[in-house]
Amino acid sequence: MPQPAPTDHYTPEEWSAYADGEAPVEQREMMRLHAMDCPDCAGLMRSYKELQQGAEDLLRHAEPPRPELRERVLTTGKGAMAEEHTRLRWQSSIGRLFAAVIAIGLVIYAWNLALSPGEAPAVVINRVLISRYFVEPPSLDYDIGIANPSGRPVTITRAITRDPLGGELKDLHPPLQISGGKTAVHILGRKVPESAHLVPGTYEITLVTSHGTVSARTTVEKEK
Amino acid sequence: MSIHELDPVTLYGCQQGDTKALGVLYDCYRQPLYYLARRMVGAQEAEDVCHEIFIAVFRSLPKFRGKSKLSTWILSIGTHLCLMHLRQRRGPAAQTEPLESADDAPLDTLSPAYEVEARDFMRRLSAAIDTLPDTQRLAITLRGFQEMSYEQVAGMMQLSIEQVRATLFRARRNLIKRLKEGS
Ligand SMILES: [Zn+2]
Repeated sequence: MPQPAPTDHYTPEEWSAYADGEAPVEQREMMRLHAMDCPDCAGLMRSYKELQQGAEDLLRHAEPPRPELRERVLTTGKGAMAEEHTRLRWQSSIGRLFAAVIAIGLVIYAWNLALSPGEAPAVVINRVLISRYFVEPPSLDYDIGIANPSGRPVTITRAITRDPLGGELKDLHPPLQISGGKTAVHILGRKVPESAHLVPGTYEITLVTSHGTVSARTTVEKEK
Repeated sequence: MSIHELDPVTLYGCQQGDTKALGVLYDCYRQPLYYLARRMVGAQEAEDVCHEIFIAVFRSLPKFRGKSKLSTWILSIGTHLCLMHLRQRRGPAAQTEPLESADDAPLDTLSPAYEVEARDFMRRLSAAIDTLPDTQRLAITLRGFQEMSYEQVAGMMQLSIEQVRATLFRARRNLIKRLKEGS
């Protein structure tokens, strides 16, 4: 095996990838042979391997969280899952499929605004929670609580959302049926960039129902 | 360290919201997720972020269809939340990290002395990792899960494989520099 000329050295970056087993297949054997004859390259490879081994060891010996966290996670998690099951039922009813959800809720405060002239709507929006929904594509998520004290079957056919930067009109296919009591509904608003914070300001949602129109709005404050 | 996978029965129980199964999932992933959170957001907020990750995982579980390994999927959620947390804390301006050109890369290697004091090496390495820019710190941390390929790391970090490769290299070069400075 001839001594490699300096120009034949592999780059440090190539050795870093080699240490990870990620060098191109066709190059691996050549690199291995090169390192046998080149102390510089062998030193790089050894250093990167040591750092990788160190990172693995740090993880292996990492402290677990305090035992209290278990109870906290399981208690909150059960509640979150129950909510999610409700959410999923609604989503499937409006034909939405979501890849992943991470919601950051900010404000839970709403009041009902407009009533359709002549007739009070049968349903009342009693909660609006705005978050970002990391689905494909990421969108604003209007998590609304609806009460139907009359118990009359009400159909929601259209949702109009408005946020500080725009709005969206959605016809619901099929329409949402609200029979009575209280329920939670998720309506997706405008698509937003994944990295964007929630823009502070007023967020409004209007539902067109078989028994009048109902609106609610909420204020989102600056994220901490 | 490779992370365990849940058996299908336990996974199904988790998806149905079974408390015992969720407890098994928690026990299985608490250490890696807590480690990820601690590395990325620091010890003070690690527990809250770890909690947040688990809640996000629980919420998304009913929709997990097994297209990737559960551990990969869970780590992706963890990675995403840690990054979101850092962005919220630092604002969008802090996301860009200075790109050093490859030309200024010294052929730095660790001296064999590091192998002698293994325990001290780990402590110093941990401290050095904490000083890395977010992206480099995340790449090094994710690579600590030894079965994590560049492709998987790229998927989690939303980078190309080439960017992962370059980021890991920069991270290691910085680590060597810092380990030598500190010695
Ligand atoms: Zn060489």
